[in-house]
Amino acid sequence: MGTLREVACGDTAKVMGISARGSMRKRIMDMGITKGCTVTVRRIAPLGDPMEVTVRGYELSLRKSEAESIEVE
Amino acid sequence: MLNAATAAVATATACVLTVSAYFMIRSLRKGGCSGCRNCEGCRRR
Amino acid sequence: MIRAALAGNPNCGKTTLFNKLTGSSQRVGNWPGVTIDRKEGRIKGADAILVDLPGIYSLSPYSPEEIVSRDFLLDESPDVIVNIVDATNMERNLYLTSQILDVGIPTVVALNMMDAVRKDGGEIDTVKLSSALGCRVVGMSALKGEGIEELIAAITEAAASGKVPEPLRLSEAAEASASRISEVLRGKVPDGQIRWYSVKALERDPLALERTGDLEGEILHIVEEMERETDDDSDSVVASDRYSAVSRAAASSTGKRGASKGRTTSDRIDRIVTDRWLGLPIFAGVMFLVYYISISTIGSWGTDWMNDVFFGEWIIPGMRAWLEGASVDPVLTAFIVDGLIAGFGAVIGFLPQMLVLFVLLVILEDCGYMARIAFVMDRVFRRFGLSGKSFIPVLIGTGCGVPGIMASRTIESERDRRITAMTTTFIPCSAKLPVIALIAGALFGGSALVALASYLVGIAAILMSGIILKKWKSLAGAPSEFIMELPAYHMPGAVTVFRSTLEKTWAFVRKAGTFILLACGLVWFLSTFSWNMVLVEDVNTSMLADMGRALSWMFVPLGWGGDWQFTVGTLTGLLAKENVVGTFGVLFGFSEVSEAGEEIWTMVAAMLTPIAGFSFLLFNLLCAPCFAAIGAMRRELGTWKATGAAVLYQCGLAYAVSLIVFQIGSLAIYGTFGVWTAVSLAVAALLVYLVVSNDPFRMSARRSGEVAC
Repeated sequence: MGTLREVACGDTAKVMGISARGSMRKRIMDMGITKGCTVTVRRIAPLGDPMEVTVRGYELSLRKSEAESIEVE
Repeated sequence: MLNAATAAVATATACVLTVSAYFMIRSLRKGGCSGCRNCEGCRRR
Repeated sequence: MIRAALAGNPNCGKTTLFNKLTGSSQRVGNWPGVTIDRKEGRIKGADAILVDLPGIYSLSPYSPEEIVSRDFLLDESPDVIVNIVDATNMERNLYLTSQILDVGIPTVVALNMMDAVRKDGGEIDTVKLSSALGCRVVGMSALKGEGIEELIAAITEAAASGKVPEPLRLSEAAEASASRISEVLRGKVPDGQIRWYSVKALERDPLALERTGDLEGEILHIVEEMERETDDDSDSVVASDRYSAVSRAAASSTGKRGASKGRTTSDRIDRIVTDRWLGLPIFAGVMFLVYYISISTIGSWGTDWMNDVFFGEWIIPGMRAWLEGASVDPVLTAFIVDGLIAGFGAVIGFLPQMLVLFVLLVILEDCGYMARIAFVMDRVFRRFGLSGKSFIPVLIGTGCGVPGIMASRTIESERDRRITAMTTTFIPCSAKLPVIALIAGALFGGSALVALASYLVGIAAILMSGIILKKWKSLAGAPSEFIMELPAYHMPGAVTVFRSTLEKTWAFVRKAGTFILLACGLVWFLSTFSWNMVLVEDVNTSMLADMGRALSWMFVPLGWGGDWQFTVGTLTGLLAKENVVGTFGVLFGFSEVSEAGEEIWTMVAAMLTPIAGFSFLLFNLLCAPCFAAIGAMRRELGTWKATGAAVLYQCGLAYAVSLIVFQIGSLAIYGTFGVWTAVSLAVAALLVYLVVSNDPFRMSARRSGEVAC
């Protein structure tokens, strides 16, 4: 149990919940990161942030601060 | 003093300026985006 | 007459489909209250109007695009919704569909990019998908023009039958709570929209709850009961349920699902262009190439030809000869040739550069690389309160501020977009280069360090402004999120590139034909006549000279207010920055000066000390940009009030920086100390304070985006 931020490059994790609030929470869920789905961390940007993940068959970028609010296992 | 050519050119110039002023005012009144689609904002719609 | 609405995700071919359906019968307007286009057009071969909704991922109540779309669907109830869905990315696209099906309006799903699915060896059974979604599904390809006829027929049919689709079923718990909420809401909202309001209220959607009035308490009670039962937040339950429902629907219509070929190719490209070590050099290389092709080589050949040959040898002398030959009044001839055509030509001369720049940018954008630039650069710019996407406008701004400001529209976050639009012109554009060359040549022995300093000051001003401006109330806000789709790479379509380039170019020409033309006429008039409307022999006695004198006192503390010519140069620079040097040529009695103004170097050197010259340069680089750029800023900022504030900020910063440089520079070099030295020290202290002071909005902004425990 941890957050998406801690998932290593190339690893896949299952989403357990979203702890963000307000519009960020809604945006994360609208983009397909919902409880129970799997997310694969593809790569980290050259400067260390943001990160690129694959979710529901497409590529999404999000900052580490945003990934921190996605609980995974 | 005011020859025919001057009068004709002056009229033409006045017309051009009026049209240009009309379009300027129109684009100002429309405000916001003029729909040039010079951006993702418009293009992705 | 049928009224149809076109809805869909960004990057799914919506614009292409809209163009295909409506042809040239488009009208562009604005959605009320926001600077988002509202396009509509007549569907070819049908008695129907199609309204293009903004590209959105969801009907949630947060971005202006989403709110505009919701309000349109709920309040203006179109007869039919055309929902375009990217067949190569069904799940996320159908998530929006699942919300659209709740609105209670006949819906047709246009399953786009079927050609790409087939190319990858995939297959989608539209009949099965149609029965899973409960609405008509038409497989098509907007790019190839496949299935357009069928889609149009389906639209008219759906509108005629008026058959409202069955909403997708959520989980048992959510359905039970939604139907309890709908009992509460019955009679309070239109019958057809009761499903929409029930589910949205279940998600605690603030805009939906707002419309339920005093029933909110009762509804929230039902929501809380469900949350206890499912041990999860209601919005999370609904979002998961929607995604499960659409992935079931998608799975029922496709065979085995694997990564498509397009995706794996994209992944391979991404592995290189966003590589840890190669990412930044590749980005720098691409940008250098764009700049090199459009500003330095192909574009500038075209621009030089336009300026030197087309206008310089053909149009201007030709027009003059023709007018003189027809014995037109010399004043009118001068007005047309020296005022209107020369001014219009100065701006239109940039057209070739713009055209090349536009083509390259459209290609970068259309193929998907722009999103990667933002991805790579985000880290740097976020430090200064901007987003990765702010870098693109600045980069374009080194060529010309107008497309630079326009490019700020790629930034979704309103706050970042506004700050970017306000600060992009701090970077020296190509039209400011002659001013730099003049000051460097006349006062600094042509040192290249002057140009380098100009770019550094520009970048510093942008980054500093990022920090200062976000402390302003109207520009404060939660740090914008960077949850962004990285669309699959694809070959840019020739038609799309051609069309977008043409549209942008036309917008540029239109601006030159209106604002610039009229302003040039005005300046010519002011510099040619005296107050009692007599033609002046000497420009020193013109109205413009008097205006310069009336204002030049303001620039005395900056070191160049003693001679009115510099003030007038700055003023005419507002028309186009190239005018600064040209104006000096006229004012110092040279009718023609070369671009860098070598002829007037000695005169400028006699009038200004190097430090005053540098102060003059800085002021001209940072102060209000040319009218064209101010116009572009007005378009991005939305109101004249905000634009005025932005121009004031730019002039204020320019004044402060020039004051500090001149006064402190004079103190250091000549040891002069006076009242203004003290003032400049105070201004410097104020600037430092603005940069380092606590952000009054930071705490609240933090909290709203922060992880709740």
